[in-house]
Amino acid sequence: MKMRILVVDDEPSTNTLAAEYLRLAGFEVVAVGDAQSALDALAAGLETHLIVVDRRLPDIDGLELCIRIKADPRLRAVPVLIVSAYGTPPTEFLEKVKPEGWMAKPFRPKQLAAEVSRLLGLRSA
Amino acid sequence: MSDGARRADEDARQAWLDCLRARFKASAAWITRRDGAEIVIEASAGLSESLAPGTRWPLPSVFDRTPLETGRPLFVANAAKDPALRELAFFHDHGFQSYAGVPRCDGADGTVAIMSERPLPLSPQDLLLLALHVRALPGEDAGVFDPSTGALTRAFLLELADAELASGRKTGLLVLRSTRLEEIRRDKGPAVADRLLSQLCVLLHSKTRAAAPIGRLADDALGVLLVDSPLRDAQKMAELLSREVRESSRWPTATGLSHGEGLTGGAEALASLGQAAAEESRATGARSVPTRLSTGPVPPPVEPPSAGPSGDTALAARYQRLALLNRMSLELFSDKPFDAALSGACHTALALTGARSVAVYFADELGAPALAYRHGEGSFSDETSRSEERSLADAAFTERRLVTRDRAAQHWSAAPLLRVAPKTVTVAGAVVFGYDQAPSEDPERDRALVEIARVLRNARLIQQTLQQQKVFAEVFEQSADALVMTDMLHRAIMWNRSAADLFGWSREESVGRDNRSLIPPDRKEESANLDAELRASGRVLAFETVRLRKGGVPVPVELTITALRDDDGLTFGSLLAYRDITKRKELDRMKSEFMALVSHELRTPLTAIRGFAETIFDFWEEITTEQRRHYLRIILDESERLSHLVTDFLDITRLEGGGIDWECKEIPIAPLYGKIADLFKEHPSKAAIAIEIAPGAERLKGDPEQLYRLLVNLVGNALKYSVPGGTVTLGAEPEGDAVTLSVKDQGPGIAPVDRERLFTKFFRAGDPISRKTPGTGLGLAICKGIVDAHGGRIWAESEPGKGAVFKASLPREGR
Repeated sequence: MKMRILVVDDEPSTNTLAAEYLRLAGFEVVAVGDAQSALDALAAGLETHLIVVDRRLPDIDGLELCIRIKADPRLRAVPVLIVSAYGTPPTEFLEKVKPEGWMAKPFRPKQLAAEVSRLLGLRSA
Repeated sequence: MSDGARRADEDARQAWLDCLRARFKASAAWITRRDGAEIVIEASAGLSESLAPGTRWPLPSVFDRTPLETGRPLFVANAAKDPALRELAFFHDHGFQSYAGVPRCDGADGTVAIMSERPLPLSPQDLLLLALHVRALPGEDAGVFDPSTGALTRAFLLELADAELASGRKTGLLVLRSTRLEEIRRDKGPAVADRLLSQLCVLLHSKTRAAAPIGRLADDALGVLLVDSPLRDAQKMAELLSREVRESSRWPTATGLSHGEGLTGGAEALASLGQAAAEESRATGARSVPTRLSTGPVPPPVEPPSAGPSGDTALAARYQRLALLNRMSLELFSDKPFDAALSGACHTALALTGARSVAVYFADELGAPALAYRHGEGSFSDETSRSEERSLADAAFTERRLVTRDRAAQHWSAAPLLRVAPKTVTVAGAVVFGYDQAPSEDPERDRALVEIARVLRNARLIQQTLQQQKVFAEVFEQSADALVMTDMLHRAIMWNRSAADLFGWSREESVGRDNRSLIPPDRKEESANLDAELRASGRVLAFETVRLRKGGVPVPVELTITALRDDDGLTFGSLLAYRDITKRKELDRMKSEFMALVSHELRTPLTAIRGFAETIFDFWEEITTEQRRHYLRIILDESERLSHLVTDFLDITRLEGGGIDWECKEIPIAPLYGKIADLFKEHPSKAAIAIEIAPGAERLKGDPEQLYRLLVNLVGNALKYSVPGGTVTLGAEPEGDAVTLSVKDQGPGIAPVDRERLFTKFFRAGDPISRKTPGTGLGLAICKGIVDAHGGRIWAESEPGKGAVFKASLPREGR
């Protein structure tokens, strides 16, 4: 079974890139452009094995979205990979919310795919 | 002199110095004698070891170079650290020690001086008295002066009155008699009575502020010599004095005034009249007796002394000179405006020297002589005299010594106003006198000149100091930085307007309060470090920190602290300058936010370009031709976007940084609009472009290239939101001195929430069209930059659903 990845990024080109590359790398990808769409999809029962979240989103901040995901008992176990063009998220956030990974933007899609595989591999191990 | 006599003489000097100390509340008093290049202490009283009899001090070289020694210094001083004698100003306050001295009058070349831990509370009148003290040197007419009360004896009082009257001046003698002294002498003995009379004497002394010499006329009566005052003034003064003494004394007094107007018989006659007044009040019990005048011819003035200091005439001349110098000082230190005071003093100086002209030059800011006052009689006021006078002043400035010159029937002499500091001598000005008598006829002339120069210099220095104080107080108060001066206990002593504005505490609330209360509790440690640095280097430079406003709100400040040190290098406080850096911090924040935005905006297309290139590379075999074409399309689009972005970014940076060379040309609007319409003819929106130019808006002045750029951006935007068949209208309307250019579309309009932020960098409206179409978010910011640079205004008007109008109002004649 293909692993399903939810990509949340408002920048169309990056969004498309992540989705296309991950698909080609063998994942099933659902891509949305804002946090609310992501939350709606998850609330509607979308099952996902990993969520890639852009730190800067037009409606709700990426970190806030991460906090909401981690606060949901059903979703808590889903690894979250934060993609950020603004350096490392605050230490306080990392310690408290404990996202599984974060990547600096601009990233190379191969790195993204590798990081996604690593996180899923860790989880399955 | 036998040993016994010498010892008695030394004891007498010692006792006299002790009296002097007590009288002026001085720490030390001493008598010096000049011996070659050294000063020898002959007698001393008080603390300092360096003042012990027999001690020698070298004379400073300044005395060798200047002719000040030709007139004996009226004041001398020594500084605690520098044993050399220095000539200082009247009330010079050096390291909390003051010195005042007068020349000895017993024939020896030396001084009598006193020293105080505090500034000496000496008025010029006190100094006159101090000068008169010299008369009491043992071996001379001892007892003419009572140092414990400051009172002169009858003999000396009469001597002074004689000198006054002899010079033809109108002089009065006020008699104050203690009406109960007789009783007290009877009941409590003569010692108590004498003490009471001394008290009355001291009281009088303070009431007249020693302006007038006071002497004992009879057992129960004191005389106050009202120097050089016409009858009316003397009566006023007498009335005032007797009232004041009556009101402030437990001992009721009776008063009488005798006046020398038309007096025959000199001071003795005046004194007799005074005593008669005392007798009359005693006999009748009257509290005051009427003024008595003498009649008859005034005795002819005595000839001024022509020889050196010998005999009564020399003393009289010296007294006259002192009295006139004293009057000069009084004038200069009065409440009058300085210019008026200077003029008064100069006329007194003319009387003192017998000169026909006087001119005072003060050093201007660059040290060059600038005329402050001049007065010349007859031929002394013509052009030639003036230029001679000026050249004398120049010579005194450069040569720093007395300069004399004879020309035809005119004799000139000039003295520099020297300011002698420990290591430097500066010229504060010069005074020039013109005489029609040769100087050889008056040996006292040079001496008087030096003393006049000294009085003028002191007045000038004090006036300058006061003026500077005013200037610095104003600078302190008006400084844009918050300035606070604190003492050693960190208490605020001075608190300027900016400090009140910055911290919200008024001056009244802050002065006296511990200034450390401004430090936030979490920065106490940092503050201790600052204190250590301040102690070590005397300065803390531009330290960025936080302080608390009234109410505890923190404010970011840049703090500079300077330790305030006195001449001895001892710290007595600190000057703290706080600069509010809220704005700078905000600017820094905005700048880094802008940089973050820029880097984000640049990285996004880069990520896509590199990413899709990598995708094609990694999955060359797996992807279809269609996918490959799609990815390449994205790479091309993003490259285009990147290129636009870089251009726009450079433009906005140049616009904001002023790096564009602006032209200001007459621009006809119609051809410009035509060019724009041509440019967008083939635009995919297929919208029509209409042009409406109102009369009065046919042309304006500006930079053609930048205005073209403005319109391309605005029309490009308008077309982006236009539907096929719609119209974009380019308008121009006059509006006072401005022309308003407008670009109107029929698109969906702009949401009110977006309208305000349209012109900020990287702002992208949240509508669907904006989200779909590529853009840098800089176009409108560039438009605003262009319009701002033209001195105009840009804004958007819109009703959602009814299209939008962008308007730029530009001054018709350019900026």
